[in-house]
Amino acid sequence: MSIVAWLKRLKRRRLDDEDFQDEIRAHLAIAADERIADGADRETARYAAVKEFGNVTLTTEAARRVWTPWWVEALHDQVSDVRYAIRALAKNPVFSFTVVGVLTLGIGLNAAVFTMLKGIALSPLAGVEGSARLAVMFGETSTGRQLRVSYPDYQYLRDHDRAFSGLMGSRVVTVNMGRGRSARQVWGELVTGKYFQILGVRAERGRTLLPLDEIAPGRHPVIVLSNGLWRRDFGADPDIVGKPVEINNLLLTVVGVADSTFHGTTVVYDVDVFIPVMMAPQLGFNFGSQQTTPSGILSDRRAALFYPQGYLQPGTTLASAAAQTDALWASLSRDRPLTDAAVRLRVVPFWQTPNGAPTVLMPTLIVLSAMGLLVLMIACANIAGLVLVRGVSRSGDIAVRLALGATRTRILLARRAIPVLVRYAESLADPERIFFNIEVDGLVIGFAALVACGSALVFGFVPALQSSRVDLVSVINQDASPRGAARGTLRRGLVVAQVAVSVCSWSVPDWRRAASTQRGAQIPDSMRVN
Amino acid sequence: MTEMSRDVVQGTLDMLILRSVSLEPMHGFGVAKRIEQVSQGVFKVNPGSLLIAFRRLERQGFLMGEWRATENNRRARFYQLTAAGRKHLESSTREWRRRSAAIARLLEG
Repeated sequence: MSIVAWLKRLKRRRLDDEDFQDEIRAHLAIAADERIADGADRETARYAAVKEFGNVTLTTEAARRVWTPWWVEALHDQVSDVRYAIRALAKNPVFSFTVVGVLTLGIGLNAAVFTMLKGIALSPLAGVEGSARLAVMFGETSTGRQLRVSYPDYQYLRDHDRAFSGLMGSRVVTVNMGRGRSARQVWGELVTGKYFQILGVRAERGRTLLPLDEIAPGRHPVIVLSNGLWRRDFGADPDIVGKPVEINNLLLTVVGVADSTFHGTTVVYDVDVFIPVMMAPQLGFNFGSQQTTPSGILSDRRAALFYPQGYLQPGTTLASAAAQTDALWASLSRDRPLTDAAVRLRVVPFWQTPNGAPTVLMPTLIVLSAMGLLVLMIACANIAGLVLVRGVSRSGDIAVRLALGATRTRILLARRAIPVLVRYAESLADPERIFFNIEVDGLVIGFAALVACGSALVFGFVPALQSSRVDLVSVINQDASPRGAARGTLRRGLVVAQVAVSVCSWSVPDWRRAASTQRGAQIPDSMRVN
Repeated sequence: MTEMSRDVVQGTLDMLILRSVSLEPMHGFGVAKRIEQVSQGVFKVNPGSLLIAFRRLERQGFLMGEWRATENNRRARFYQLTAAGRKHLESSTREWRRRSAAIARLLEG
């Protein structure tokens, strides 16, 4: 239907409406005349005619259904309910601001926590498509200690493991960049040759690191800069490729600048330089190992280097990858036995990387989201209380509406329109801050909308159910009889629930510990929620 | 039976309205009064339902409404039967006779 036709229809509807009202008035006049002719006095006649006719509003609404499709009617109801809600909110700005403020905090908190959860679970690495599907390998000793894999073992696995479509490794390090007064420490990653190819990260300038950079130790003294470092420290120099950069007193040649969205594969760290793992001996890394000197870092099987990672072959499950990898490990350990080494290799999804930020953060986030929901519940209970109290003060208004022929459903809808409107205003004011390497997308907005609708239902509908059950006569007659006392049950219930939730949230010891979280690898154990 | 129902038999209101206005154009109050009188008080139509039925029948093309003055110089909306309305009245009357005769036979037999 075109808009013009639709508008015509709306106009037509109004004309029909007025005409019908006229007809009702005419009918009442004639009916009264008839009674006067029978000898009744004017007032009684008019009263009797109206009484005989029945509810004028209900009749008009029923007649409307004759000339308007039901959905236009429903839409019209909604529009007038929303208009009513706007008037009611404007009339009481303090109430409106309180409700909008409380909900903004409650829903915003939930959305923020959800954004972090989603980021860690679905897209832990910025600039890497499908990073959540990355699988990570680590060794496990007989006592359950988690170990990194040495470079020789990594090479063997890379060449033999068919469960992965490709394996790469990276080790986060701090390096000294520059010399003298301009020297400073930056985060870097020592990466294997296929690192960029497997992740599918492009170079914005020059090239990324390639398998040819992993041929022999010290052969390729090259470096790839992060986009951020290139802009900050090199003024986005267009001729950066080919220039030398001094890292740990060694000159490396810049071969490229990584894509601007990419921040490395160590969650939470903003990695600034990418160096071939083959340069590790020259740069003097021994990773705190007592047994290995930097020169042996790439050849000693005791030198734990990194957690190899990669995407599984299409159609391979994590379990079968784990089985294949462990079988490889078994033959490897038989051929070249080591003391105090991993007895098995495990394969886990990326977010379970040993000591990785996601592993540490996940329990915190789960506790946080539980807290967030609790806070929102408290907020909802508060608002429900407010709405309920207002509902009592508005009983008169509701009673008038009922008496005018509004159905109970209609009143419920009107009551619900106010909270929905509040939520709408709130969503306009929603601050959408980007956090971590995390973006606010449709999923987050959908989640916020869902939470908002859920809370609107809780704080809007429940009190509405209560207060549309109004005793018309007593309320209209301003009878302050104690019906309110019976209705107070829900009010009291809300207060009790709220206090209970508040007390619970501060008396559960694990949560309180969560509030004073200390950083460190111990967190996952101490935060186990029972 | 505590109270006798004065509602018209379900589904027959349209037919009764069309029949009433088939004689001459009438307004709502007139139709209501006529149904009550001719049925000798057995049926009494709720005015609201009557006016709604008018609008529906008008929309279906069976009636044509028009504002006119009554004999007492009141304004009222008069309804008259259209050709389609006459046809509809005839077919629904036939149908009603057939059915009510059958019911009568069943109740007597």
